[in-house]
Amino acid sequence: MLSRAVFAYLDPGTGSMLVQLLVGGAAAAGVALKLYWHRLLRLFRIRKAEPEPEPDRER
Amino acid sequence: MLSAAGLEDWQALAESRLWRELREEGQVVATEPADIGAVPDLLAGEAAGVLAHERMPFLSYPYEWPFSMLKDAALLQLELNQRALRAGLALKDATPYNVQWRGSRPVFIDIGSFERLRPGEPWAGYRQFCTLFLYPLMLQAYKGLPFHAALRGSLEGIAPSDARALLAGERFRKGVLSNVVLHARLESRYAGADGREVKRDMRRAGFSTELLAANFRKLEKLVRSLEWKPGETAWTGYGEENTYDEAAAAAKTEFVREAAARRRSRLTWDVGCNDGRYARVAAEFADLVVAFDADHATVDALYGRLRDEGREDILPLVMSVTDPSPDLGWRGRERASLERRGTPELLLCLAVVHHVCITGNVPVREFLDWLRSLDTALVIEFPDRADPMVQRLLGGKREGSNPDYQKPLFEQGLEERFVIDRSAPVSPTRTLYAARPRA
Repeated sequence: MLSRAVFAYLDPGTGSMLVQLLVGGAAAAGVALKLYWHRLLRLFRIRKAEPEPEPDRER
Repeated sequence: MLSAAGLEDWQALAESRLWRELREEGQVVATEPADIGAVPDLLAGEAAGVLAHERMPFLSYPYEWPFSMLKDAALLQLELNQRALRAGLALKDATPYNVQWRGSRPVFIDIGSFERLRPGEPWAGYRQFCTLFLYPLMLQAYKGLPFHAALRGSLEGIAPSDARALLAGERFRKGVLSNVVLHARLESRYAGADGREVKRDMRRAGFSTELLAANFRKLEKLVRSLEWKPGETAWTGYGEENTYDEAAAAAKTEFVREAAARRRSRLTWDVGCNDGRYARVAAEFADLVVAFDADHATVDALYGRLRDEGREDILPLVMSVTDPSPDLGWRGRERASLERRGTPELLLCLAVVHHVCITGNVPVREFLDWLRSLDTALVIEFPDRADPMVQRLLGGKREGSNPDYQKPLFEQGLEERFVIDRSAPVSPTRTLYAARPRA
């Protein structure tokens, strides 16, 4: 079972994305709230899983 | 070399007004499309296009830059991010290794970093900006600890969790709570999360270009606010209080000018440059002078002056002769050691040899061997044993230390390796020599 620390080494990206919601100050706070609202709804399956949009382009 | 997507990104950049402006301002390196057939060993389909750019006169790395140079490089990065955003473009990376210098002017060299903007996505370079720009600057500004050992020891920079360990005590200072503490916490908490899902969620929640712009502005304000006040070191007052009187200083200046004027130099090194006065003299006869000193505060102050003058012919760097930058990275080839970047045609070694040989414990002959190995013309100053500074350095050591540090032995060693064109006393205890390598 891989520990979280190992994942941080392999893929340090997602935390850094999320913290940008906080760096921008008040402007970002509104967006952060919306983000958690979406995730909460999905977690409780209130909102159905959305169909896949066109896939992200490969870097 | 560019992939197909990279080629499209380049074309988007090359057609933009931003590209024209940046080239005119000299903030980016001159870049042209090149013939793909000219690249050796290319696999079929490996590259869709090739770019060629001008070479920079002398490479340097962030672990050699004084505080203010790293700060100005960070501000250049953020400025480019903001201007690119307005042009519908983005920069993938945020690393000081994408910045080089023309003297005291920073130049962005990684044209492949530009890409078309994908709206609603967070800045992919943010973490790199933290580990390689922001945390090192904060370390020096908030803790007074120079970042150079950290950057030389880790090409990836300072990780968020390490930055938190170093800066947790400063959590209420500007920028620490979000960029360090929360960043480290979120990084470990969301490790293993699917990046694409998170990106998609953020975009749906409304992460926008305006937010990106707000982030860049906040980071710029933060970086501008970071200051390092070193206080007096043994060296910052040196220029005014050193052991020379006016006549001696004038004689030294004349000697250096005469030696430098003998032949135009493409590259001159001034080792132990201190306030840079002799580097300025050498610059009259050189395309570029690289001025080294081991004291951070001295080099920082010198850079500030050169930047305010807009000089492009003197590059100031923090470097110790006895511990210069080594080869680093994959197979020791990613970041070149000092000597592999190009040896000079003229080297000034003024008021240095006693520090290297007495404090640094390098035998005099070995120091001369190193100078000879550079195959460069030389202006070197030898303070003899009776000199007050030499006495002070010897005072801290055992009786009879450094028996090889004597003027006759020095001259003999110099003559074996160099042809002495001129020598002159600059004070009762100091002699200058102008020499060129003996075949």
